[in-house]
Amino acid sequence: MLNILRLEFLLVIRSGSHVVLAFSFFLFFSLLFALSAFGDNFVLSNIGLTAVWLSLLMSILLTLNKVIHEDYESGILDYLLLADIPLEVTMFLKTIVHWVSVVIPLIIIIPVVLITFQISSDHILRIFIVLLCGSPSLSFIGTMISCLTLSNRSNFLLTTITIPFYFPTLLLGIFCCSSSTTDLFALEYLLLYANTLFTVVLSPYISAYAIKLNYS
Amino acid sequence: MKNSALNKFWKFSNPVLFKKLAKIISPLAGLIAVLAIIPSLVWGVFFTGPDYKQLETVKIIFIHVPAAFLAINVYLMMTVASIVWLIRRQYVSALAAKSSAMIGLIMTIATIITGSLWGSSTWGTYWVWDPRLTSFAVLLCFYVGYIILWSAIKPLERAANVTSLFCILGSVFALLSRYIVFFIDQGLHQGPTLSLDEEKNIDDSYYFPLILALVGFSSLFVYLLFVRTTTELNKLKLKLMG
Repeated sequence: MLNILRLEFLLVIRSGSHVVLAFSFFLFFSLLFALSAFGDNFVLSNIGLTAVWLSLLMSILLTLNKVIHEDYESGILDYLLLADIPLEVTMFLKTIVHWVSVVIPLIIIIPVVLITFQISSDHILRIFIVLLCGSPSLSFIGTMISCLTLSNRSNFLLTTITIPFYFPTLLLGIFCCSSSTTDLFALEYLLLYANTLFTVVLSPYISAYAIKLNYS
Repeated sequence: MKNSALNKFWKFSNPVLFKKLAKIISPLAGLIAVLAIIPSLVWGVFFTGPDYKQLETVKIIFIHVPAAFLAINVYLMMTVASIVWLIRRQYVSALAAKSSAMIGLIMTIATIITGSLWGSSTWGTYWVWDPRLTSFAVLLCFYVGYIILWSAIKPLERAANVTSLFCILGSVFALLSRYIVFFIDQGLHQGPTLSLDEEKNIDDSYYFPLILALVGFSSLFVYLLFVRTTTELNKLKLKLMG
C-alpha cells in the first residue's frame, strides 16, 4: 500500500507537469473573473467565492484524465488489477494523491486570490477550512466518473458528464462559504462534511467496480 | 419456485417473447393514450372553470403535471432497468433504459417549457432559480449526460455497463442536489398538486381530468417505450446478423 502511495507521489514529482498547469490555469481562470468585474469592488466581492470555486472545479476537471486514463493507456492498470492490494484501496490512494498534488496547492493560494477579490479577511480562515473540507469530494467524484469513461478517453466527454455530479458539492460549498454563521458545526457545514464523507466512501468502490466492468 | 410469478415475469427478458408481448401491449397502450389524453385535455380546457387567481392559465396544469410526473418517474424506471442489467445481464432491460432516456428528456423539456409559460403569466417571469425549477435543470443535465454517454461508447455491452452505472449514480446525485437546493431556498413554486394526503389536493373539478391526463401520458410512455425497445432489439438483431 505504501509502495503505491510512494510510486504515485514519485510519478507526480518526476513527471507532474499537470500540477503546474493546473496551478497556472487556476490563476488565469480566476483572473478572467476578476477582469470581467472591471475593478468594481462590490461586484468583485460578490463574485469572489463563485470565481474561486469554479476555477478550482475547472482545474480539477482538466486534470482528471491524469488519475486513471493514462495508467489505462500505458497498461499499468492491468498490473494494478492483478496486484494483491484490492483495487478499491488503490483507487482511494490514487485519488488522495491527486487531491494532495493538484488541489492542496490551489487551496493554499486561494486566500491570496480572495484578498484580490476584496473579500474581508475575517472570513478568509473560515473559507479556507470550508474549501479544505469540501474539495476532497470534487476529486473523489471526478475519479469515479473518469473510471466510467475508460472506453472513450476523450477529455471533453469526461468534463461534460462530470459537471452534473458536481452540483451538490458546488452548491453546498458556495453556500457555506457565503454563510454568515461562524460556528463550524452549524447545519450547512455539517451537510458539507457529510457530502464529503459520502463521496469519499462511495467513490473507491464505484471506481473499482467500473474498472472491473470495463475489463469483463 | 419454477412457476412463481417472478419467473413468469423474467421470462419476458427473452427478446422474442418480449416482442410478442410488445405486439399485444403497444397497440393497447396507444389506444388508452389516445382515449385518455384527448378527452382529458378537452375536458380540462373547455369544461372546467377558471381559477380564482390564475384565471385561464391554470389549465397548463393538464400538460405540465403529467409531463413532470413522467420526467421524474422515467428516470426512476431507467434506474431500475439499469440495476436489472447490471445484475441479470438482460439486453431487453438495457435497451429499455436506452430508449426511455429520450422520452424522459422530451418530457423534461416539455415540463420546463410549459412551466416557464405558466410562470410568465403568474410570476411575471419565465424562469427563477426556484428549487423545483433548479432540480429540473439538474434532471435535464443527467438525461443529456446519459444520452451522450450512450452515443460515445461503442460496444453495446460496455456502453450498457457504463450508462447503467451512470444512471444509478445520477439518481443518487440528482436527489442530493434536489434536497440541497431545497435546504438552501424554499422557493416560489406552489406545493405538490397531487399527494396521498387528501387535504392538499386541488379541487375535484381539476382533479379528475388531471388524473385522466396522468393515465393518458403514462400509457403514451408505455406505448413509446415498447415501440422504441422493439426497434432497438431489431437493430441489435440486424447488427448481430451482420
